[in-house]
Amino acid sequence: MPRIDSGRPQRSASRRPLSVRGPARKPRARFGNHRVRIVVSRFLLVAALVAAGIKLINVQVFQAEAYSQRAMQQKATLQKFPAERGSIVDRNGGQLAFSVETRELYASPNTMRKEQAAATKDNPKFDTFEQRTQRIASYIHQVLGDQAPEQEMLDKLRSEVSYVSLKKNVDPNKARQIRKEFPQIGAAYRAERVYPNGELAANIIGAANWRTDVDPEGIHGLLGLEHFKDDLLAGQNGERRVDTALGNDDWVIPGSERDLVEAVPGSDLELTIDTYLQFQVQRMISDYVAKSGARNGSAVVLDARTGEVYALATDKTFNPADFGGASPEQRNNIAVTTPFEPGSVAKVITAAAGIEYGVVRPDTVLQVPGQFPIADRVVKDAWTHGTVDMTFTGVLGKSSNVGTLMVAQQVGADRFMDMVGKFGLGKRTEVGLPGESAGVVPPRDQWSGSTFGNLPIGQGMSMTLLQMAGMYQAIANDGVRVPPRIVRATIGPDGVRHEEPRPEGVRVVSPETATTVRDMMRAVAQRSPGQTGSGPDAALPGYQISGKTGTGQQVDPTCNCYSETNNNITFAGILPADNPRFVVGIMLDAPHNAPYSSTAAPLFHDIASYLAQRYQIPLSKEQSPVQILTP
Amino acid sequence: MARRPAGAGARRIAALRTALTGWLGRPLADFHLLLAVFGLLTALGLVMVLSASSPTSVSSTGSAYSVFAKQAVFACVGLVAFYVGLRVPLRRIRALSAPALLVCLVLLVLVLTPLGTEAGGARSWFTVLPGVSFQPIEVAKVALALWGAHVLVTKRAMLHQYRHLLVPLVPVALIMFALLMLQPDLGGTITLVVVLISLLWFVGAPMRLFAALAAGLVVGVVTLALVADYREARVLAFLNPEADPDASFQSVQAIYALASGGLFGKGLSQGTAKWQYLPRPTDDFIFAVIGEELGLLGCAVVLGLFALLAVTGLRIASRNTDPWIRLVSGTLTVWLVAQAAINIGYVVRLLPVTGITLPLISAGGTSMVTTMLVFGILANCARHEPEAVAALRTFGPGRVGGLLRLPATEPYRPPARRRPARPSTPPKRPGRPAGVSGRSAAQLMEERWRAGRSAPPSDYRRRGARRTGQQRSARGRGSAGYTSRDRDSGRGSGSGDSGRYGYGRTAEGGNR
Repeated sequence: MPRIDSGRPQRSASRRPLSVRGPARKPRARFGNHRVRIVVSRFLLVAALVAAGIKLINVQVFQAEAYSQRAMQQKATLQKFPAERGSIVDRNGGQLAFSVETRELYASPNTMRKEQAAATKDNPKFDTFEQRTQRIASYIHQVLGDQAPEQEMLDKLRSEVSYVSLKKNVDPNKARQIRKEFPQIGAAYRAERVYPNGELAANIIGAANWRTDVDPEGIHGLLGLEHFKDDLLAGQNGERRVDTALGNDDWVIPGSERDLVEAVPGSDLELTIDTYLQFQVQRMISDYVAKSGARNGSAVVLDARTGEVYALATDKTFNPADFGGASPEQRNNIAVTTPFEPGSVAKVITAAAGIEYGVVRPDTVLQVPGQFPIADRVVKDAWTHGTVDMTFTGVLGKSSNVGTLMVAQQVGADRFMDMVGKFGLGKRTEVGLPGESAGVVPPRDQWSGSTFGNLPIGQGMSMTLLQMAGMYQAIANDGVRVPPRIVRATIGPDGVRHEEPRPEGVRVVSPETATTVRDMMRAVAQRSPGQTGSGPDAALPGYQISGKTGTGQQVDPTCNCYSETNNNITFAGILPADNPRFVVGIMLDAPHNAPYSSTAAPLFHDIASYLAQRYQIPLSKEQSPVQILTP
Repeated sequence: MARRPAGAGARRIAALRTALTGWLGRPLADFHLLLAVFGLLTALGLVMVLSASSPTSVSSTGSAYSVFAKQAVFACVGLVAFYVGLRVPLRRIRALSAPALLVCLVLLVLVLTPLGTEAGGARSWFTVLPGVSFQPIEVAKVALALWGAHVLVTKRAMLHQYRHLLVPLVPVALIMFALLMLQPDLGGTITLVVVLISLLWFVGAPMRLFAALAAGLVVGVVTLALVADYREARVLAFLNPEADPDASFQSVQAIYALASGGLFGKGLSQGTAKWQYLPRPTDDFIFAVIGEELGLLGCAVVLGLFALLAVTGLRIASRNTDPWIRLVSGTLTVWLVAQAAINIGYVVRLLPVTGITLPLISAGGTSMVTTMLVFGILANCARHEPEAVAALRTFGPGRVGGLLRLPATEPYRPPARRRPARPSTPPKRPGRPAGVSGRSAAQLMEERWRAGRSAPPSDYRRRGARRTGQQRSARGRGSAGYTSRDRDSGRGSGSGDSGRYGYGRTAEGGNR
């Protein structure tokens, strides 16, 4: 730098005397000094870089915290992943429902169309969109076989949408194979709910499928136990925080996973159902409903001691894998949801009360008239007779309405209602199935004059099949009613089995009363000249059978009166009566085809027969003694 | 007690300084520095391209290496270009500059025809092979720098007239600007402007020209910015980043990335901004990726390397004697460093985003190859420094040169004044200004202009110049310089002339 300062004055000083061509020099004086220009440019360039450096120090040191905080926020994504759903097994550990991991193949036709167009523009050798989709469709068909028809795949791939689901429930290995060949095809994690027994017990288990309307997506139940116990089965979803690429929350930046909360798999549900029994009962009830021309029918098998539901079948069931196609009737588990007027089966209340309170004894002879007037109505027996002598056993065995009402009058309305409550009527059994009905028992203050002429014979009140069977379970279990239950245990994700707590038993009658009533009701299945019960077809050779037939008149909605043609045909029985193991309840809704329309006793016989075989029930020590019905 | 460490420290610093000065004083120091900068930037660039491109490469092609592999191939091609630039005699490069520029102009026209390929809204590419494209503007920049220097140096004697200073350089450059804006390519235009201005700057154009250019530039930039919506958006985003979050998204993302890096960075390949957050992480915003993964440290290294390039390149310009080499090396250096500074400038939000790449680091085939060619030419220039020439002639090519089989460089011979004249004209009395002989006016000017060197300098002056260098007193130098010049030519040629011819005398003297 000093050079210039010293150079200029010297030059002008020394040049002037020699200045012959003065004007020519001027432009040259403007000419820059190369050395200075280099110094200046070096300074400028380095200064620019230093300025950038200073800004960098500011950003990367002093403001780093604030900015990187914001940078982290914009990348962080909370990812939830569904827990593995627990399976449902029967009492023997047989699978009723379980989940398997699958993939759903999907594609983005619009994006693909654009990509292929761009690719072919760059290089004509690349596939056109048409060629590409053709190849993809035929490859998918080749891998998946007939479940993915080539033409269907092709149509989907060529549809003008941004997203199309190609195939659900694809084996993950096959999906991987397809994706390896064609990365444009996406494969999303899915799980499939499998019901290996198809329609079996669908009315109990219900159905679950992959739900996209919840976050995170996953399998959730919609019907039956799958729905009722969804929280237990579904487990706890896991989550983690990850950094993802811009605009695509599924594109996780490797190594950014943090705050992992492992998913807790759902618990397994062990039911009290026995698959084999359930299958047979379901088959039998369906057959019988078909034979009898009933609108529907249901049957339940309870453990006489524990109240466990061994089988709970309705004639109509559905395929859980395709429950969308099932009708509302098929999905309805009428055995718990639909109460009915049971008819004579309810006479057990009067019988138990009569014996318990010492009003009658089994051999008490009643003089039963042909009809029983009560308030504005007259109750008759099912068959016409004048005044006859009948033992109380005979009243039950022949199912005499008049005799029953006579005893009920002696018991009294209050004690009768007390017994109704102890038998669990008008209250839900809390069996553990959704949509359970409590039935209807008219409260004491709403009674009309004729109400007490209806209730003892099973009219004017309603109960579910389960409640009905529950009453007989109390009789079978020496007077203690154990509310029925269907979930036996849950098996936690840790593999530990948690037994469901056994419900508190309710003492209905004394053990002696229970035994007496049980013995009395053996008369129903009795076939003996002049002493035949109302349901001799229920008898099972070798076993003492105790039970009760029932015919409940249905309400005709047209006249709001009791129908003469439509009846609820019911049966409740105990097998064997001397050492009860099972209680069976059967209900048929308005059967029409004789001879099956009048009684469900043959069906009880079939079920009892299968039960005796399957559980190898020892034969009764002796045949039921012939009881005197009409002396 | 307190004094001794201070003294020791000072002594150590002095020793270091001496060592550094000694090392820098070595004949081929610039050449080696340039090679080091070149190697480090190339290596860093390849590594960062691999890191920045892997996420998008994986998603689009399934392989993390697809962009990197392409870049590596380009780097290999670029190394050949570098070797060509280093090996081909500068004389020939200079001779080839005019045809090269012509070819480039033709290509720039052709690229606008359907022969060119349009991408990202600009018709700037020729597709050579599928996936391999060529951007003529990159080569055109080099051609303009070389040819411009050639024209200016050839017309050196007449540059005091604006007519000669500006024509034909500026019209040609304007044609190129026009062709570029038809593509349109703002980044390329800016780089060309940098090349043009640095040519004029180093050749010594008057300051008022730069003032006028600066004014014109401001007007031009504003016009260009307002003509195209996307440019206007960029500028507005730069001026007021909070107003429109979408428009300023790019540069904010770059700042986020840099800030996330902090002092030491997240570690190579650990960055997250390249996952689609940063726009163009492999080229325009690769510096942000460096900042995130290598931190302030990595950024400082990059800045330092470019600063070193600036210093070295300009040192080459100042130590050479051939005016063309001086002009070329200065221009090329300014171009590269300015391009880096602009790129880094917009990444750190000191400048609006212009799409200029970071030389040697950003992914991009043609620019990579061209930049490497430029480094080759610069390295070639470094080997033409008079000391280097002398050293190469005396001690052989050295380790690097030997390995590369580089020929010894030719010393600069200024166009001889007398030799062509001698056969026809009888020798004139030395020191006498012309006007008498039958030589052409141009020759006459040329000779006059370099009259200061017509006579060999005395031994005394040569030795004195060597020994004292810059520290010789102003008085002694001034008096000696001007006395001799005035005596020889009868006219002063400017205060900087002594620097301009400095070491040429050695060679010249030796030649006679």
